[in-house]
Amino acid sequence: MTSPRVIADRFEVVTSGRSLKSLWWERSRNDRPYGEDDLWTLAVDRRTGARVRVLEPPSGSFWLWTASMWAEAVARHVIATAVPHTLPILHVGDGVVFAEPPPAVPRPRLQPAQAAACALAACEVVARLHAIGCGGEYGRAADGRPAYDLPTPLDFGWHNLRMTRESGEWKIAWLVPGHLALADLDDTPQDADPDALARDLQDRLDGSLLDEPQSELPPKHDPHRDPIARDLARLAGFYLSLAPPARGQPAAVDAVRRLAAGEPVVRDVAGLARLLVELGPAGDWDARLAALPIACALPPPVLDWDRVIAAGEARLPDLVPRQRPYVVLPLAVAYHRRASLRAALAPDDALRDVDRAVELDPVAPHHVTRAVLLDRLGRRDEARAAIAAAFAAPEYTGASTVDDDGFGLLDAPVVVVGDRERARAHATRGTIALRDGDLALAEHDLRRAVDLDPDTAHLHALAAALYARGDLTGAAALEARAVELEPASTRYRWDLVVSLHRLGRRDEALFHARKLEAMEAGDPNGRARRIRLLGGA
Amino acid sequence: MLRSSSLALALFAWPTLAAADVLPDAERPHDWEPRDPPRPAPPPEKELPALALWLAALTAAALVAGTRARLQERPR
Repeated sequence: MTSPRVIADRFEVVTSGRSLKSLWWERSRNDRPYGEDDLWTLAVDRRTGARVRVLEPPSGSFWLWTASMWAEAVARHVIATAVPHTLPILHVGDGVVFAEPPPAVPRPRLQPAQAAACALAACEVVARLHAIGCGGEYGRAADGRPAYDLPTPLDFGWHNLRMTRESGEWKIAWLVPGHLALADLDDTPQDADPDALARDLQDRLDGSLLDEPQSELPPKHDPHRDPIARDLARLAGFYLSLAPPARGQPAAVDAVRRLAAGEPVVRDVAGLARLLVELGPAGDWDARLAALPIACALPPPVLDWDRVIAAGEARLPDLVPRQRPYVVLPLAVAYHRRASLRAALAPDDALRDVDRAVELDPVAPHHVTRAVLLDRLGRRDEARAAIAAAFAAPEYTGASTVDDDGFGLLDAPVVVVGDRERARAHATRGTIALRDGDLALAEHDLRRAVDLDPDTAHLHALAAALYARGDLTGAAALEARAVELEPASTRYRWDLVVSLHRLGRRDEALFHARKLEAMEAGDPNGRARRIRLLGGA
Repeated sequence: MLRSSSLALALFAWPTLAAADVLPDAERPHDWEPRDPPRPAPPPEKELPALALWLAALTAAALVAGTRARLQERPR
């Protein structure tokens, strides 16, 4: 007899969760229906003896590695910041262990104030998730089924956004990160409460309920919309599913209806919460509203890159070649991300990271970052080789990539290098050439960088190349533009002063020298410069 | 004959079918990419020519001497 699987030396697995695909297969072959328990890994907490549920990707689902990392990051955030109104999480790592949730019940019909209180609680959850870049419900395919590989662990269906009644009050208990497969059960027909049906019919006969088909609430999923707007529509739809719009209700209800229909009535969750407060029960909402983070645009997702990298490296040895790209590609991106974060303070560590990124996925952006770091560390020869490798990568040469198996089915897709990234590559090669004294190449590359992305750093570097070639007028014009775009930079202004001084344009040089003197007041490093400036002027 | 050719066709098409059946393409998560990857260090700072520095020092000295002389003249 085999011993049961134990998670984190604490949770003894009773049954492992099944994939939806296998359950669909069994249903079609054997007419075997399935339920929620089939989709969870069920376990028992050895400490308390309580039943727990584990959200874990189906065994061997290497293609879901990125999504799992993101779901675990969200789970850790829920624990660390004690996101209210969510189901308690007992453990993260090897899946997410939830306390036993309340049973999923279809949306009850509530009084507007009660519904607003529940929707406000949902707003408090979503606002905190938006702050870490988690937003936009799971995408759905054209046929309406969830797209399972999209990594946004938030679902508004009644199996994930659960409702429970405590002491006569309805509350929400949201599964965050959501168990996406449960969304499959949302559409299953339920045994309707006959009393609720009778009440609904009576309300409609009385004319107090608008004759609005329920299927339009909440709104249909539109993957092309902004994720925050999508979540706002879903939250508004959640309120309306609890308290359908009726005649004679305040204007706020109409605003919520329009929001659910996709109109940009408010721009963030805090805005919707303020609308709901007008409908909610009396209470001290000010403090709760003030505590809501405000995010009008979803920030990049916040992950612990050390943890992601450790998990990815641990996963790699178990994968066969055709499975590797699903972990290797995101892992290389994670190394590149960490290298970028470390570049300023720990360039040696950053270089180690980007070395590994290049080893895993030798695409042009990784080579460019490697060249930048080597150049900063004074390893000029290696930097030259690295930037040459960047321009020899398929992203620049257009060569096709074919996988080891020869079929080319799972080959890594070529990175689409945008103008900004191309400009970075040219600026790197141009700057290295400038330091090497290859002024023609430096000017060519830096001009290309300015054409692609005319930002101040590129303008300033091109000006340095022109200055070195003796084109002082051209250099001064570019430096003047850099100063115009970034007037607080003393470095750009100083270089402009020197160019103007050498051109004999003393009045202009003096104007900028005086500005520079004012900007550097009290700066001990600026003193020598000021003396020179006074004299030069 | 028909059976063996069908088998050959199935074997030939298997990798395509297996790949197309369930698995999404392996991708680099766009959201994970650094928004601000490291950029090249700026070129070295410019220096004024040596002659200009000499002139600067001389002008500064002249200014200081002139100021002192005027300060001494004040009590009279």
